[in-house]
Parts: sequence; structure tokens; C-alpha cells
Amino acid sequence: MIETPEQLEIALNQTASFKGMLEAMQRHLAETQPALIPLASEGYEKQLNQLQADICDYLLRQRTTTQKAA
Amino acid sequence: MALPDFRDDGWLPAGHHPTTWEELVVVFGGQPETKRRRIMERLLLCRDRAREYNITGRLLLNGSFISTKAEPGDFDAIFVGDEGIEDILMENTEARLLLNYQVCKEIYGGDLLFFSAAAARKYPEFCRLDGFDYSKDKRPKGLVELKI
Repeated sequence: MIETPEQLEIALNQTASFKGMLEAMQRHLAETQPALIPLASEGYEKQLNQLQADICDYLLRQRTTTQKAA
Repeated sequence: MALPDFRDDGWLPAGHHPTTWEELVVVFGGQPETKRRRIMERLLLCRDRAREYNITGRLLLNGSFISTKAEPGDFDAIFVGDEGIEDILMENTEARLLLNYQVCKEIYGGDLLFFSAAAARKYPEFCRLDGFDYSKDKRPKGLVELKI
């Protein structure tokens, strides 16, 4: 769970890291063995989905907190 | 080759720390009949299967398994396969299953991300390999690096 802006920043960096690795693998395999793209992609997609869910959850909680304060 | 001391929060200091399988068993293998020992046994099984299929590369280990936690949940890992791994995977169905995310989770008890040295060479700008360098509370921490 993300609870602070610093943790949000780290989650965004992790997202960028995994997206970059996924992109590199997909480009490489598209040139060499396209049939392996689904195999290589699945783990990254699971990790990215979890990170993005955590980020959205944090942003929604922030919005609720801001609305309550107003 | 020796792993550094653990920090007070139970994680290794930040960085990717090379080690041997022998040291891994000594430091993280736990006691018989414990969850930690079961995770280690499944990880060793995964390593042995990889060797059987001539899969070689670097394994970056992450997760509570490489912390001081007495009852770790699992291991996460990035496996960077050596050049030519794609040919092995194309020729051997069982080798492909070894790197299948769901199969790895169910049978070997870990979350595995597959990467290749060839992709790292061709696209270095995308290959940070730092996705696991932070704990769940987003503190920088260490990973363990092994050769398969």
C-alpha cells in the first residue's frame, strides 16, 4: 500500500523500470522469437497491474481526504 | 564472496550482492520442516531444472525470503538468461514451462520475471534491473544475485 508522496514516487519508478524491461524484451523477441513474447510478458504485466492498482488506490484516497478537508 | 550484514530492518543493505548457492542455503535455508526451508527446497528444484535444460544466467532474488523474516512469504526474482536462451526455450516445452509465470508461482513458489542478456545488450536504455530495489514500505534494500 502506498501512503506517502515518497512511496508514490518510488512506485512510479518501479513502474517505469518494469515497463522498460517489458518493452526491451518485447522488442528483442519480436526480432528473434516472437512466439516467446506472451511467456516473457506475463510476469511484468502482473507486477505492473499491481503497481498501477496501488497507485490508483493512493490517488483516490488522497482525493477523498482533500474533499473531506474542503 | 560473503553477503553483508543485515540492517536493523531485516533487509540487506542497498545493492545487488553476488553470492553462491552454498552461502544462500546457509544464510537463508532455515531449519528443517519450516516454511523457509520449503521455499529453499523449491528454489533449488527450480535451479536444478534450469541446469537440466541447459538454461544459464543470473538470478536476482528478492522478497521476504532474503530478509531475516522467520516466516517468509515467498521469493520474487528477475532471471536474466544468457545469450541463446531463446533457442533453448523454443526447442524445449519443459524449459518454457520453467519460466512460465503461473507455473513458477504454483510449483516453485516464486514470482519470476524473465529477461535476457541479449535484450539488455540491445536496449541498455530500458534495462535498469532496479524494479525490486525497494521494500514494500518503499525503502531501498539489497538483492541477492546468483549464477545458474
